[in-house]
Amino acid sequence: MAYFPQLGSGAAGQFPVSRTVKKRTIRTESAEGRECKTVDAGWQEVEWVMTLGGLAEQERTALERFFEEVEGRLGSFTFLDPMGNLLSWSEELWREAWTRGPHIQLNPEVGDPFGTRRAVGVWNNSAVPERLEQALGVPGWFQYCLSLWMRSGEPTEATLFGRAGGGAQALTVKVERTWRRVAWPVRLECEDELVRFGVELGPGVSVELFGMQVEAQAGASKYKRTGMRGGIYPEARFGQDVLAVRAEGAGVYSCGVRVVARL
Amino acid sequence: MSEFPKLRTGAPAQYPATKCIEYRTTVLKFLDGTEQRYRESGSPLRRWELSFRLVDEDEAGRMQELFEVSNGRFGSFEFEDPWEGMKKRECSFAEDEMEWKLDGEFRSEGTIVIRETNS
Repeated sequence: MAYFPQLGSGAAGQFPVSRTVKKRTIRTESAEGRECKTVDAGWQEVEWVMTLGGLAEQERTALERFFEEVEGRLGSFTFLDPMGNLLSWSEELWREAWTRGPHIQLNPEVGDPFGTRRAVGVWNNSAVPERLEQALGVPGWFQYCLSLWMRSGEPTEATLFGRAGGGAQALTVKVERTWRRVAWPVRLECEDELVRFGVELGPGVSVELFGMQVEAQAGASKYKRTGMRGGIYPEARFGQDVLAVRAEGAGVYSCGVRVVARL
Repeated sequence: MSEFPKLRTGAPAQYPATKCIEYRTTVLKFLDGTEQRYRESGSPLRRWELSFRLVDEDEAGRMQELFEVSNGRFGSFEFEDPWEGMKKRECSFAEDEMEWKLDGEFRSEGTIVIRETNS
């Protein structure tokens, strides 16, 4: 599977980046002015326009090779939305996208850090550590950042993890009585194309979670709530047949990139 | 075969310079939103946009001479890709016009677009 390359810094893109969602409505208007509208779901499309500046030789070469590998607009690739949350159902942890240990119990509609009731209580009702995780079809060699808000009735600990067949990383964090956002950069450096992100709780531990987010970059950005679709687009393609790379100076390049994907 | 002249320094181009990799893909979109894509050309075409500043009359003259010998876009010449250092045998000017501005002694400037041809 081809993946749109990350920059050397581990960033998914650079500012300025724009994301345009395109819909199509079929509309007919009768002689007396009444209109009839139908949504054309098959035509939903999203387009990213990125200006990449200050690219090093290695980044420029990687981008050019990738463009040649997919042959401009011809081939498809997986694109990780640089403005999106890769997880799906980021607040509905009981959905099928999430996998949880047999004794993990969820308590939805708990008060969250923004004064609404979108957080979820998670309790490990067993004598062994258990996990709540989501598997993402993303490359194991990319840079990611897992972030979420955590709170607990009593001070305790929880372990954040990112794991794939060929590598795993974990971070144990203290969970206090007040909401705190934890952002953890993860880089597994493995060849797997399925990576699991989640939280592991020790026996009897109970915490409240909100705003789980995975991004294909080193730092956390503002939380984005997701539904059925996360920020992974497996059938994306270039929106251009020409890649123009400008040499600004010795070993410094810039270019503009358009990527489109069906929603 | 003629060769695109290098500058007095031995460099093939100056900064900034732009290189384009160009494919020709036809995308047919159907009513249900699905697509069919196919390629129009067998291999990508490369194009270089080179800006020259503060070059002397000799350097500018050699490029103008090649332009005249090539009859603008018509003729082909060999060009060394400034990015990769590889010689491309079938290249031509992308335009039928070439403009050079002379601001003073040793102060010529112009922009040249070269494209690889698939023949």
